[in-house]
Amino acid sequence: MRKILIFGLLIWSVIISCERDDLCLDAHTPGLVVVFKNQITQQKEPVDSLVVLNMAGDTIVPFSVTDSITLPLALESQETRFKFIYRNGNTVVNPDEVVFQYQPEPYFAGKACGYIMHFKNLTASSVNDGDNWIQQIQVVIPVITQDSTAHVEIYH
Amino acid sequence: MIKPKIQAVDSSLTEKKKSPKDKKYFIRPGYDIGKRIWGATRGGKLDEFSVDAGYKRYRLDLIYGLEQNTLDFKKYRFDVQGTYWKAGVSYNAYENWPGTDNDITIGLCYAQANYLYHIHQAVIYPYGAHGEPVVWELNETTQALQARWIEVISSVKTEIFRGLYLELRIAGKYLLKADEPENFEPVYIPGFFKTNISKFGFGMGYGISYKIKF
Repeated sequence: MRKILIFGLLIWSVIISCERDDLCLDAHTPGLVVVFKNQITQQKEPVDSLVVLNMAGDTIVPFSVTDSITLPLALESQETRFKFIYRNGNTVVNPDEVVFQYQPEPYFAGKACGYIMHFKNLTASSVNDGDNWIQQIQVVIPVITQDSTAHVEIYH
Repeated sequence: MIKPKIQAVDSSLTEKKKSPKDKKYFIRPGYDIGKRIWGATRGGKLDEFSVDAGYKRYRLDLIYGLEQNTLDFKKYRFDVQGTYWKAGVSYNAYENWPGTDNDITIGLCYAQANYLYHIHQAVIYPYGAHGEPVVWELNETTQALQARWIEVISSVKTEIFRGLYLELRIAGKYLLKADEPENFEPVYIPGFFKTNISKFGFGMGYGISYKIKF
């Protein structure tokens, strides 16, 4: 009986000592979700063709016809700028510079995931270049803790 | 004439001094060497003292530990600082050969830790595959925290020299409650070791102790 008890305890100890939660699966720093809406109908409407670059000229969102994009915000800054380039065939190419300002806040997402970044006090605006295809920018959710719903609406 | 006198002295001696077989009680203070080494390899300090009081096959166990350590969980690095104690009962299931005095015990104990964390820095990844992760200096100290758990302990104590014991101890643990700090989690608890979602834990000890019989 005693031997069984001690043997059982040994086996049990070995089983429970295997860590199962050292994989980070579901937590990540959320992206900024932007949806595009028609200025007149107020309904979601894809931009004919859109490419988004960062200020270094790297492609963040490749050419696509879409009504929703997700953008990465810089972590060590309180501001990220992007070039939203509207393209109609090959004839009209209109880049608009969009500025997002926010406060990054580290958030502990669990033992395996460690910290991710949340952002609060989000504001958004476009730089006036005299020929903006973006007519209005509106922040709908100023606190970014997930990226499954839209934070910013862009009217065009 | 002389004989009765000697007999009288003999009987008074046996009354005064107990033979080793009659000493049913003991206390056994001990120190965990394994934890000391483990702490030192991490540049920290971990001292665990124990004492068990015994009567025949039954033991009362007390453990007290002090820990100050820096832990690197790869994605974040933090200090833990605190104390813990454990109190419980155990039973020696080992049938000793005549002349030997070893223990193989199984026991149950309640444990409690009081501690706090200081989080140094964390590696934070941006959204998607854009850009490099940043090392963020957090420098946050949590409020005082408390955790409670129970342990099933099995221990082997071998007498290596008169009264001096080497002990190997394994423990299965179950976390009852741990305070949740703000923007962190009790990922490591002094005396409990690393926590995980199952609330179960596993511990080991390797120490020396000295048995005083009376």
